[in-house]
Amino acid sequence: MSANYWASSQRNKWQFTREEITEARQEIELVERQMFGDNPVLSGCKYDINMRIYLHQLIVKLGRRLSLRQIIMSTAEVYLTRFLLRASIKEVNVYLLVATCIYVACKIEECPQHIRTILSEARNCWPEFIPNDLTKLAEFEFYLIDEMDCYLIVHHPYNSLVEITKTLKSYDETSARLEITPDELQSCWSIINDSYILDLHLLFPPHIIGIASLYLTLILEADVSASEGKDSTGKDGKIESANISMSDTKADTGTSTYTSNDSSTSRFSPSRGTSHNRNLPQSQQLLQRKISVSSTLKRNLQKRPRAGQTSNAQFSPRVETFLRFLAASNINLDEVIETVQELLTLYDSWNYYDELSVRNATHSMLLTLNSDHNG
Amino acid sequence: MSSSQRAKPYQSQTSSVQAVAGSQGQSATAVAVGQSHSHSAASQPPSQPPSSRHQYHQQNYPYGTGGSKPTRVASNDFFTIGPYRKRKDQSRVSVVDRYEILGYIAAGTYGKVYKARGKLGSSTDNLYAIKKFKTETKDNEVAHYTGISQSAVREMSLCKELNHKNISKLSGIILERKCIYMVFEFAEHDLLQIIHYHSHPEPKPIPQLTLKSAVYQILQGLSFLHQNWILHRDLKPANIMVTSDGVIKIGDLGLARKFNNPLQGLYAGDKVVVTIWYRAPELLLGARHYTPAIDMWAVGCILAELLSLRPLFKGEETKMDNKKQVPFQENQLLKILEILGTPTLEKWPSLNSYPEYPQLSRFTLFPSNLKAWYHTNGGTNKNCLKLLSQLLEYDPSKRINALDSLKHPWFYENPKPVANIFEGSKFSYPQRKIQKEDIDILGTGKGIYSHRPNYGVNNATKRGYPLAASNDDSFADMSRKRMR
Repeated sequence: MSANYWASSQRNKWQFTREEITEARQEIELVERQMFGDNPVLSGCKYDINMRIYLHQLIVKLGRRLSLRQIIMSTAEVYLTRFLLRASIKEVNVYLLVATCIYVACKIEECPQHIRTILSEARNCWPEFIPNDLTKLAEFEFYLIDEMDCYLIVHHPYNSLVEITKTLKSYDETSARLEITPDELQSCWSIINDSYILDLHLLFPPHIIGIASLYLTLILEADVSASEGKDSTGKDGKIESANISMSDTKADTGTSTYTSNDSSTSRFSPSRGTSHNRNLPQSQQLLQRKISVSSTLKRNLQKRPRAGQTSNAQFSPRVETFLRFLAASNINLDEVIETVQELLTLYDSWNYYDELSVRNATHSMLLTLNSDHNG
Repeated sequence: MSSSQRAKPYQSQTSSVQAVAGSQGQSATAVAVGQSHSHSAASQPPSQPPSSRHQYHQQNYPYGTGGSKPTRVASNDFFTIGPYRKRKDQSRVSVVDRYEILGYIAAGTYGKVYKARGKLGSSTDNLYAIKKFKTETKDNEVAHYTGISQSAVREMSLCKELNHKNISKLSGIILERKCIYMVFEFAEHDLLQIIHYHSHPEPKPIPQLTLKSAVYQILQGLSFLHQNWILHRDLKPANIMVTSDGVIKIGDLGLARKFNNPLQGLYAGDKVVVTIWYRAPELLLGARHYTPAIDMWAVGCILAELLSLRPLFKGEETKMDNKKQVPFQENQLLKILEILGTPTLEKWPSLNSYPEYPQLSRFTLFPSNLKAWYHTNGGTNKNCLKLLSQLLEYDPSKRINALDSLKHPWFYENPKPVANIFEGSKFSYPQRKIQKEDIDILGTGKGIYSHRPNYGVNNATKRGYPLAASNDDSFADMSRKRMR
């Protein structure tokens, strides 16, 4: 069903266990071996976390060029992960794959773009790898849709997130009520956007990912305010400048000036309303504390504190409130924990992400494939 | 590795774009490409003679063979999906291997619908309607891939999610040789055909129970669609199927779309929706935003048509002019006013906010005639008239919704709606006509796929029919129709 996630094809056809995903990946490896043997250039290219980050950025790049809404890019990323669960990056042109995912996502989200527009923008981005031939993109569209077995409607965590924040806000009891600030919501959005790099959307329902993003955001903030003394009370008033929009078009551009890991704390100032570097220091702090966070998270969630209980002094009242909400809900907490841990691992890996080497490997792969299969 | 990349973990879209744009300028790309080329040349398998390998590589190198000044543009035959396509095509089962095509039922702008029997199942009544989407081929010689139409994408994606007894059941989709085949469970009848049967040669009214049950089941299916945030946008008798055991199946979701959180307004996506006779007044008045109420209006028109056996508002469509501006459908609105009377601001407060509101002054004032129309067309039941007037309520915000309409008193009084709309009926309707001369579903008659001579043309030759003679002509016909 298209309105109800629980009856959707996403749940019934495109959600898997970890074992199933592993199995599918092994099958792809088998295909790769049969197809290419042990060609050293090709074996240098893997669908690992680096490649995933790289592909994510390709989608973002093309999406931005086309001024697409975030939700379209997210849908495209889901298509990408679905396709690559059943096909190898070594049997297709990944740049064309990215363009095709975006092309189909535009249609399904009812913002169709002309095939010519998509192709020419893709060629602007990657002229060396996108052939100037509409039929190639159209052909790939066919195969992409076929590989997904025509299940195209995707449910995203953004709506769940909004619903959850509404619920948290609606409680009459002060001890249960939690107002999520626009700034926090923005942070959740960013985390959700990043979640598409991983297999999370093949594993868990959207609301799990939404909750994990909110949990990470709150924990993070608790960490920040703890490191700053008692700043948390006056904070809410200062961040009204944060803009939350589906389009993300006005989001900040300050990160390219950010240079090293060590400077994070010194750059951080309590006036968080200025849009520059808003999230970065948080993430750095988060990374430093990731092990303690995830283990205490696990402890806390598994303990399932009763309402009104304020046992764990490690968390701020806001986090406590959220934990109580989680404990009282029917939400699968194991899945939330897994999601949080995967996200933390992602941010950790991102620290070591080396774009140049992934790009080189990808280009070598494509040039080899080009000479082997188009000769 | 740029520092901006390293700094990026937590920041999402914004930073990544910035970083990519920053570090991936032209010069950086050139370096990367240069490196990768030498890398691939250096790491070639030792078994191959280096010189020939290198030559080979250069010939296919997308930057030209000179090496001094790379053009940096992919050639048209640059690698796309070759190995993948080969792997997938090996395991593909053709539509003609799965289904025996019995003939074609209908043709429209979208393509053609065929009647088929499943070859794989064992039961005898495994009949299917296969909707083949027309491919937009410019020349008849080679079928090129073109983008899949928005309508096909909608219908495919929605049908894959929906499962309701009153919605056409999709049994599968086959993508084969640049064509899309949507396989539906076969429905022997549709309301247009049933209405026609009752009006020709002499009018004989549709039995009350059939009529009421049909409307009830349409509303059940529609209520399901609306609960799933889907607007049908093309309800009309021809799109309401009926199975041989009397179950309504709403079909043709080619214009349907989801309306929750639209990124783009409904009007921006499709300027004109719903076949003119069934188009709600708010649409005729140029509404930019509209609601499921437009489908309810169409149900009202269908109910009236089942009663009177004629379209209720049979207006003449004003064709699109060259400027591609949506014309005001004066005649259609006139037909509505003649029966329902002129709408007033008092009864429809938002009336003057519609773009075409000023046009209303062009009409003379009409009184409401619905009751008189109802009685002259043989209507006797009061509750039925009440439902009809609630469905044909001018103000979309006051028009009855699908869920409420299912609780309407008309459905609670005897005879109550039944699961088989033909129950107790003395009528038996003819089977759907099929054109047996064109069963070449793959369109192979022209020798496009000459490398597979037996592909789908066997049956046609066996029966002595010409090979798909009408196929391309009918498509040409259809596109002309669409142009008009």
